[in-house]
Amino acid sequence: MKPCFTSHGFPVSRIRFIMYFEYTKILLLLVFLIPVFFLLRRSKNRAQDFARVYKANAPVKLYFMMKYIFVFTFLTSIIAVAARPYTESNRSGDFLFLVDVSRSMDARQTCGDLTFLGRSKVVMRKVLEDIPEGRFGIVIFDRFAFPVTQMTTDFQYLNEVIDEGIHIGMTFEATKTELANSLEVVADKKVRLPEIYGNVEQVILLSDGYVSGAYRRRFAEPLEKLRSSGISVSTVGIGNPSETPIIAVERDVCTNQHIEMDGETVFIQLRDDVLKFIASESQGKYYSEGDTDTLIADLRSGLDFIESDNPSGQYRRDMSFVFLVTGSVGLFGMLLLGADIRPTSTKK
Amino acid sequence: MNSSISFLSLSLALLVLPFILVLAWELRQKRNRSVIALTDLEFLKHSGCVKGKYRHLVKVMLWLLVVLLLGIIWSGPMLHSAVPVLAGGEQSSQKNLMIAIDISRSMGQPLEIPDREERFERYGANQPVTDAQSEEPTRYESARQTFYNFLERFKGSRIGLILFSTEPFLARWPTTETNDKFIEVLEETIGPGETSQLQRFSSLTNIDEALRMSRDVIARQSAGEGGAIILISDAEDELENMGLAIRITRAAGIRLYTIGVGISEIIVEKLSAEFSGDTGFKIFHVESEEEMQEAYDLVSELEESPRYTNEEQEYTTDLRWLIALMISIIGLIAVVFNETLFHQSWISSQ
Repeated sequence: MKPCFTSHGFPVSRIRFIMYFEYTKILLLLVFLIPVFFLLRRSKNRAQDFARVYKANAPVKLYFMMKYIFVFTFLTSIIAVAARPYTESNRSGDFLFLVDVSRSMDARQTCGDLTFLGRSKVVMRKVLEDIPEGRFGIVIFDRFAFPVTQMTTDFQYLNEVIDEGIHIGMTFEATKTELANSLEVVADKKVRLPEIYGNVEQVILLSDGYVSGAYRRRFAEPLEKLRSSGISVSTVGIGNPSETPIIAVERDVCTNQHIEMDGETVFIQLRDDVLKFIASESQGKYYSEGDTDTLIADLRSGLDFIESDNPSGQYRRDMSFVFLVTGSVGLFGMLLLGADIRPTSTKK
Repeated sequence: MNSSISFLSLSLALLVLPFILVLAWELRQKRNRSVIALTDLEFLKHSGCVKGKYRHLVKVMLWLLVVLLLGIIWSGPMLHSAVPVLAGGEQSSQKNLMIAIDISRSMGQPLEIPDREERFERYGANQPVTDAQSEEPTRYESARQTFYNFLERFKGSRIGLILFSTEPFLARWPTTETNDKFIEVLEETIGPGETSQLQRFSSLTNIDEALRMSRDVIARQSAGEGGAIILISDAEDELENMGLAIRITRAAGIRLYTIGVGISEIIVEKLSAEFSGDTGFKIFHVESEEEMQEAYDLVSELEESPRYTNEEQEYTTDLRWLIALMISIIGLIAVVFNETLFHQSWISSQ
């Protein structure tokens, strides 16, 4: 697989995509375009010769030029499709989603609304969609914090996990949100497993920040560990500024009844103060749900150039579609020229 | 599994309709508008290769073939087969293996527990636990090693991991990326003196819930058909409950292998007898490293049988490149014929 073509498609983020062909040997078919060129030239010369001999009008030069263009566009593009073209980005980055799956993330105003966790999933899907060059992993937390995926570039897998594998109460007793523990676990994983998490410098924390009691002292040690391991936390506040109830769901049916504790309805309020504190102390940034585009732009700016020649694991995009379009245009042009479709008034 | 072909988007094939209209135009129009519709000189010399009245038809048919093949490419043809048949085929459906490992407190005990008399002797003699004894692998460590062996042996399969105690926890949604052996979770261990998260998670045993979650995960996968659950636990439920759980699992078409560490031999015998005719269920009683290895080997051999392998594997081959290759060759031939045998010099009178 040798790079055959480089485009500079994203001047803002200075990301380059390098084009490769999976079956480069098929490109040898392009050699046949040389005799095709001479054949077309011969046809052109003969048409002009006949016109001279019979004192007739040969097609104008534009006709022959168009014919050359269409024939070569068609054949070159179709051969390129056969060679399976794809591009790879020369930049990538490792990002870790830290997703709150505690009971408070089940809050929503009405049954028709998405839960806080559902809204977290929307943000995650958007990030995955807009940063296809990245490598992502997912760590969930409530009372405990566990990685539920490996670090991967398989976005189909990640989306399947987001859709099917992440839910409230993944570990027993999801009633507690141990944010401090989750940050400590992430920092420890990077130190203990450098071969897996060594390149993770950005953690995207999705949470309502719902913690009880004074939190600053509890966060001090985990945040210090994060800083020393070179991780900054981008926090995304998921929730509402107003108090939001948790609606009971029985047998997958929303009941419109609010969850109560000690006879009183449990209300969840977005604690952006907690999330802003974590972000600022870890040299990260706080984003609201509406700021997802800013988050994505900031994450993209943190993508690193890949110096390795090994393209495996990098984001790969199939480029057959582009060549299929140009090939189809070429063929259509050829057929139009061949069918001699012209307005009746110009025909002789 | 038989081979079949599907299309990603059949409606995109309609894009070639204008092409066909152009060809139809060419076929139906009478060639009387040009004073001279000359063919190639070579053709004039050797008229007889393609008769004049068929020439037009043959030309249009050749280009129609190209257009139809182009339409097929646009529709995204995919070949599905049980074995890779062409270069570029990717495995789109894999064997599903859910492995559920018990991490209850008792799994932190050594795998090989001395028998009752020996234990009493030790207590009587007030013998402390020696270094050699404390270095014996725990049941959890042995189960984890067996899990690693499965990962190594079933590379390419979709393997998921459930750790269970009082409640099950989905530690890994089934994936084919198993090179890191799920070390992100399994680096933690359980046992006396441990302070890991797994140790804090560790409590009692709930096999029913672990099996329910395993079935649920297999069912929710996009390619959720068949599959097997391998349960490694040192606890047994009541015979009746276990029988019911097995029947539900088997009714869902999922195979179940239970590796019971130190579980009651009576239950093993009764369940084995009850499901003796069912090749999709096996229960093993293990009390040592050797027996664990034997159970692992037997389960692996069963799962490697062609019956379970061919049924659950599927390779998907993108046929677009192959058809594009065909078009390239036919297109080249068509262009050459167009300019030689079928050539028409559009020359009109002055």
